[in-house]
Amino acid sequence: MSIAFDAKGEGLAIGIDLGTTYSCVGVWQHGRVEIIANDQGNRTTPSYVAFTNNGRLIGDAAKNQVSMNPINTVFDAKRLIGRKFSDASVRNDMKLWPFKVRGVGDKPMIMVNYNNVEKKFAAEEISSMVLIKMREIAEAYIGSVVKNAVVTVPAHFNDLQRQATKNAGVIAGMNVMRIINEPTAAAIAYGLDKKGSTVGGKNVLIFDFGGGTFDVSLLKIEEGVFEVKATAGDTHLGGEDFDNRMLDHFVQEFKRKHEKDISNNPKALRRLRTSCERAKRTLSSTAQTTIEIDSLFEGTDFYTTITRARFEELNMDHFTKCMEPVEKCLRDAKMDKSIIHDVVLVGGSTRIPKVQQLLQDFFNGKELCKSINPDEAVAYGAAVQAAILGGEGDIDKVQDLLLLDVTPLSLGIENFKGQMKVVVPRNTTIPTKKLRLFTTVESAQTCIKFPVYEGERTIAKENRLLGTFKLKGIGIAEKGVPEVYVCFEIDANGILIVSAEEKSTGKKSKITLTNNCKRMLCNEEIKKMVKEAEKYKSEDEENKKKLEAKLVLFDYAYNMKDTVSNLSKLNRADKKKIVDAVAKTIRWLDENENRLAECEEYKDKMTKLENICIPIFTEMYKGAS
Amino acid sequence: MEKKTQKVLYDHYSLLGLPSGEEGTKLDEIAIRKAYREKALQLHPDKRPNDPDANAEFQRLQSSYATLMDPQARKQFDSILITLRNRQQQQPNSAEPQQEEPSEPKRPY
Repeated sequence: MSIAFDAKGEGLAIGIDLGTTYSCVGVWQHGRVEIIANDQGNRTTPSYVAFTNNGRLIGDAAKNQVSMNPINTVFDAKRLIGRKFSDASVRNDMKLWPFKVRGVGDKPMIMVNYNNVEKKFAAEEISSMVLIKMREIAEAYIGSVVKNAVVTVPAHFNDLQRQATKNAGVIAGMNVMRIINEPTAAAIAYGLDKKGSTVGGKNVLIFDFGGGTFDVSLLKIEEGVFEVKATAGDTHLGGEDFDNRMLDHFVQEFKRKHEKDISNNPKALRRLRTSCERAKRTLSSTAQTTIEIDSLFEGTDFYTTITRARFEELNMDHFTKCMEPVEKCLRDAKMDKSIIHDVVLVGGSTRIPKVQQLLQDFFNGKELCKSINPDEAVAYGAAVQAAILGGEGDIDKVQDLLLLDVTPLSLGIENFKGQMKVVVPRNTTIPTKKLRLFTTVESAQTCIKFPVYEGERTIAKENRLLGTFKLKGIGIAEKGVPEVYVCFEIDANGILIVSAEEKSTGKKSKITLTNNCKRMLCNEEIKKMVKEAEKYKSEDEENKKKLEAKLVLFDYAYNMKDTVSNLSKLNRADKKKIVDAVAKTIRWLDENENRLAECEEYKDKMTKLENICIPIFTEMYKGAS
Repeated sequence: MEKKTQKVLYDHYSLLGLPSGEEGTKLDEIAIRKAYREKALQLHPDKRPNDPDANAEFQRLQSSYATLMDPQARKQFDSILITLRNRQQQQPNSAEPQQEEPSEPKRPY
């Protein structure tokens, strides 16, 4: 039997695809990957967290109640993670979300009402809740505790978004062994069984179009080595954007038909959005579908139809936008589209016929590869990577596999002219180490400031500032004489360390950009969140117990009501006693419908009811015998 | 004001486990890639998580591979190798010479 144990013997390591709209978990067991179904029997779980007066819900349970509780049901955390409140994309998304987002500093915080208390959560915390759920799904299947996981992110996620995702894992109490890129993970799922491949390897283009993000990666797969050549994409384009367009369209239509504006009613919007998502899926296999929502707004029903052609027209700009990263990727890899062996479809949005057609046309009619499950491939690959990293060489099938990934964005330093001096170009294989020689611009300059940026623009300020550090105590010399080596080092986890050293004095200074407190969560905050996550988890357990106690009481009360009404042997006085006591209990339960009482209260009510019912029944049976 | 970064010469061919010299220059891309894959499987930090040298050694492999896969850089490197070998033949007792890698102008800051 081959099982992936990690080096510390902490049990199996799992692979988690933490998606914008859905998440998926897999594990390598018995020599293959198992994608694990959740408690509802679904192999993907909505990335939704709901806060109610009866506790916290994650996954299907959260999504199922969304139209009843839209403002306290959080989703799309991946569209917030590692972003600033002032980002244009955050501003635009906020207009569409029914839940509230506020900027604390420049960090977006999600505001919800939980147990009648106003709470605020960072995107990392919401994602950590989804991760906890995915881990629980895996633990229920494996039957033991899971500590280690490989988590995927879009290839085009920047350093801050990756680090924030890693923090989500820490908050969830997990050891994130590695953050890997989604298209790369999908490539493993595609290439695992194709190891005895053609001479010269296979050039494979992964087209990964999901619920919220879009990635294109070009890999060379040869004898078990997966070498990423280039990657491109859009971290904010996916199925949800199509839902939004359709939603807009129908809001206008409703206005036209009924002269009523539903755009300020979260409940109506949510119900319409859910129908849009369903219609979108249907339109991938039929040419036309209907939307039927009873009493959508102020008692007005909404019945309408939409054709595939209309849907395509609404989203055409989104679809055509998808071809740009494909071209960029080929250009970066210096490959012609004619030498691509396979174009592999991953992610739910690749089911859309128009997307397939555009892609096929781009590759001059080439047949697209649909052999892997578009919803599960990423988790599948993550599970394989978890086995590679956690394994101790006992996994024949994966030990000679190797993933060579790249940096998605160029990294560099702003020079005195405000230009971006690239040190690590995009699409550089990691781990990597690059040195650049810098010098002073003024005579007797003793200090140099190094602002580290990430991005492709030539003007540094237009890129993303990752952090700044200073090298002090440079020996006094003419300008241009001191030799300062700046070293960018990225390890296999994608963690960047930048250091500078002056040769003559040996003065050193360095910065690990992941510990950059200013823009990210600092360790203290993370520790606090970990504690809170544990608290929420024990609250969940407490709530579960309360709910069970409530149901026991509920069952007993209705049972008694039923029994008494069918009993003729009971004298009238006793019967009334029981009926009154039961009615009182049921009234109390109704009054407390929207909140969970303490376990003791339920038990107390239960005992009281039993103390009335049991003696009467005992008497009755005694009399009967 | 161009200063050059001094680096030790690595024989990119032998780093990839390939024959150096005349034989090396004749190897095609497929052979180089094959050698690289074999070495990468051995040297990559994922394959030896407890080895502190893993990152540095893999990085060295990576830069040798990049040099050999870039036709221009490879040609330049091949000619350096030939020069060195000729010099060595003339002075068989001299120590292994070091070479300057393609120079990098110092960037004013």
